Amino acid sequence: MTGPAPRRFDSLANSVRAGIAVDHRRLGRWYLVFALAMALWGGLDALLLRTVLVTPGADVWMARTYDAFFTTHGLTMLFLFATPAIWGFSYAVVPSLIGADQTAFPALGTAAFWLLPPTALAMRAGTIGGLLGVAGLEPVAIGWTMYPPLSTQSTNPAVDVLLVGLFLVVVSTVVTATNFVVTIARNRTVRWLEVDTFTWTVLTSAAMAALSFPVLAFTVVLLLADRNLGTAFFVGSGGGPVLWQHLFWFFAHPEVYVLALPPMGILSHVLPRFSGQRLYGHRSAVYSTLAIGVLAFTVWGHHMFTTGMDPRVRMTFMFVTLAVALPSAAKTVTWLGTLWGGSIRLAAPMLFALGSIGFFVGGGVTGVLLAVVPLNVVYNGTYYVVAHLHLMLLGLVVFALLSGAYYWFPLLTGRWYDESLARLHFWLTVIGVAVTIAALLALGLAGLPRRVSTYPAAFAPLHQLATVGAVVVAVGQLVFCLNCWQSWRAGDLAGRDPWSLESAPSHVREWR
Amino acid sequence: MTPPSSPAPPPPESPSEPSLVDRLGPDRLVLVVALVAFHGLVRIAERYLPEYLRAIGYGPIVVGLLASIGLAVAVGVRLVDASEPASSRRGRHYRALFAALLGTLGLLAWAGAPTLDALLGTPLTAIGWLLVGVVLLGLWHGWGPDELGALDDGGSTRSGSAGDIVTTATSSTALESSPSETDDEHAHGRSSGTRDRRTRTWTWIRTRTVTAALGLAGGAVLATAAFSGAETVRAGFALLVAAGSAVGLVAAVAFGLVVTVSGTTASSPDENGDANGDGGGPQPPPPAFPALEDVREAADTLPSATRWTILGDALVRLATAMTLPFVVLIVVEYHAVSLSIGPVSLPPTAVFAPLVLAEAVGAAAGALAAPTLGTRVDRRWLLAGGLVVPAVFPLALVAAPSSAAVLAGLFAAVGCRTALESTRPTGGAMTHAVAGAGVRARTAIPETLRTAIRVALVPAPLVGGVLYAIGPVAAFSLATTVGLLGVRELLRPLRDSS
Repeated sequence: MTGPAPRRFDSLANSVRAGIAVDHRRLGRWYLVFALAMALWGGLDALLLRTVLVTPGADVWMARTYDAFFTTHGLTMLFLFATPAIWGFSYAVVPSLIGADQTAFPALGTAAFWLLPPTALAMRAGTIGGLLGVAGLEPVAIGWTMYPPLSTQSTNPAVDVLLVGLFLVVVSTVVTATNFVVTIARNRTVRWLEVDTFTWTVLTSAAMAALSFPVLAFTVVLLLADRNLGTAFFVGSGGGPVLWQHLFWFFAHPEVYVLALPPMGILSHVLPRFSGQRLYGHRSAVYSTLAIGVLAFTVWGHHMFTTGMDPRVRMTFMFVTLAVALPSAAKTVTWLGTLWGGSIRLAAPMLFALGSIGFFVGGGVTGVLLAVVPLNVVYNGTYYVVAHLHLMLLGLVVFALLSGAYYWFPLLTGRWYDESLARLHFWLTVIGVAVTIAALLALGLAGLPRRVSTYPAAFAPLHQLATVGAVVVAVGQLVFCLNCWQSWRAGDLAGRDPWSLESAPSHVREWR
Repeated sequence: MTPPSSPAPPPPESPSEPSLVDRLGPDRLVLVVALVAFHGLVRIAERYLPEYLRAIGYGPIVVGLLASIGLAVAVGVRLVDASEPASSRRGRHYRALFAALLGTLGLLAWAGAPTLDALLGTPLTAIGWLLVGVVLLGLWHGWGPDELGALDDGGSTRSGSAGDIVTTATSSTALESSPSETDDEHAHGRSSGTRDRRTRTWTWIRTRTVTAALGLAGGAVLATAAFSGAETVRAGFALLVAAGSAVGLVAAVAFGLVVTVSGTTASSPDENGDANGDGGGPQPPPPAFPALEDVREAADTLPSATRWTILGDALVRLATAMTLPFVVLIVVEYHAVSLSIGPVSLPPTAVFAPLVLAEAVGAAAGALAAPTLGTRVDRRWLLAGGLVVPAVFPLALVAAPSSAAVLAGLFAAVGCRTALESTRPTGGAMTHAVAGAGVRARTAIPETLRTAIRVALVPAPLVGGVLYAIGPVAAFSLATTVGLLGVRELLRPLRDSS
């Protein structure tokens, strides 16, 4: 072979090597950029489905189009935005927080990341195929929970591609979760007592993900078999649609806490740094994290109170669900105790942290009510559940992630973000979310069924109000993207101790 | 004190100033964009309101009635505002912020009008909620666009500052615009300022008109999408006002943040004198509801030429006010013109939005040409010639063939007259800007007279609605007759002087 070819080969090899063995912080940035892109895609789904709901009839788009937006919004936000975003922050700071140079399996971790782009394409193949006019591929419109018999009877091949994508998500997530569990357990150079609360939440979440995601893989394989091999796991007496619900929610409810615990850890991490105090009740924060991690595997049945479950089983699920409120309340006490008497700095990370706590309290109160069987039976099929879900996932999780994004922005980029845009982002987001969720709560309390694109005309004003709030939220996120883009390129240099924490009473290991 | 309706005079330009984005800062830039978009969406929603009213079962008389009430609210707000002005600039800012929220709610009230009673258990009926929307949007027009002009750290005199651009962006069209300063210059066409100053003034007008046209154009594009994507007028209108409400809420949030956090802590013009720099002369009394005797007396004190000019301009405004609310009905129901561009097919309801887009383009084109024309052509001729277009427009609209291209040409032509708004004796600010305080103090049109003209215009849409119910052609023909009478009055001073 002559001269230029080996150079090309070397260049290719170097590129591959650079793409595999990356620094954990750079991998964190990749995850976060990917998550942001997916958030915009899933957010667009949300805007489009909210557009459908501006009018009571199906006179903007067809009902099936709404179903497709509804499906892809849920799947994208859960699997392609929130989970990768959490891994992104974890890769960015956890090794530093525990004194590790690198994660336990850096190459595997990187490979798990590179699984995500093809996974995203597979999960959204129906939408892409529909847009490009690929014959046979239609947008998947079976709902993000993929309940049979709709999912077993759909002849759309994009459903199979979606299921393969979900399987890949499981592989990626389990590898990443295992990487974090082993890293924190084996590569840690600080004592367990010195491990910070954010790392504890990542450890708990990673362990939960490693245990719960394989159940999703198993369930997905069974559904693929039902669709393609003629098996009957989810039809007839073989277990039926309820079996799917048991398996799905045994995975999906822990997944909710996989998504919620690290953001709670971010709150516990950020609040002391902007309150001038140590975290109030560090141990109770850790114990409550572990308690939530255990209890999360016992409460899946509260998603199924209306499936004809034995009343005694329902009562059991009700009590364990109510029990989750205790460690959750302990966390709230921890945060409020940290704020109490502190020297509050209302920078952007703190604003988002406070917003997150506020929405978490709202989500907790609505969640406790949903845990009660008689109320759940009434409200389970209504927008009340949508409001509760979004108080938790949008109000708690996204706000906490944004708090972390602003707090660690100087660490991740070496530059400052624009504070005025960050404040605008906060107020647009908090007001938009509040308006949207208030409207959804009102719709739910009025008993309006969820998951359908048409509704009685009397509810149109509330739906329009919810859409207005959603658009305001979307504008806020565009402001965030603009801020990130400009600040990353040309923001002021941040220095080594941008938050002046060198003498603060809280941990600052990630900045060293 | 400068009357609250008076936009700031054109400031001097400095070639070495930093770019607009740098001067504003990112948060203010978002605010300006949101305000421009919001006002554009409000205006396009108002243009579509009559068609929406038809869709929910109301006739042209109700359309005219609501439009008249809207004008009455605007007049009332100005009277109240002038008699009890906000105590400080910060107070005006908060009031404007409040107005943006009210405007947002007003749009939502329109969209929900047919069903809000069922949801809330109120006894207002659809027409009651529509009225609520009219009032709330009237408050936005009264407190929002004009007061936002002072939003700037250094007063409102810097070129290209947030305040200027916001004022620019939210400047109103014929029916919305606020009467301002004028003098006998209008009647006699003699410039009292230098040519450079006149050029700067026209440049300032160009900027504000183009910015306003951008907002309207953006709203028209969105309206095209809404009405072509939705199967019914109600659905399309709901999409349009939902977008407008969202942008209004964004504007209110951004405005609140800029006012409260970024702070507009510079000294207030109200507290430290007139920031417009023309406060040295005697100030006109605040407007009050005019008695007939006062109006007659005020008119008698004016030179004949000025009186003819004012009367002519008022008649053209009357013609416009009689027909403007019904233009959408003419396009959608009288012409019922559809449009196909490649694979895209627009129903008549959606076609109206591109016509408004053509109007915005015409306004921008007129504004771009205005500085050249304004400095080379006698302003009296420019005014009379320019107002021929809105005077003839009603008859031309009903007489034109049902062709989208022809209608677009008509709309573009009538859009050009927007560039003249600031020079019109019953509504413009240019004379104030050009002549300065001294001239204005000596020969300003009495506020009583301007208020009387505004009050006289209030019933015009209702009359137009009654006439439209009798026959669209008759209504629009009569409007053109009135408008041409106005042009005749505008030409009288020219004829006499030549």
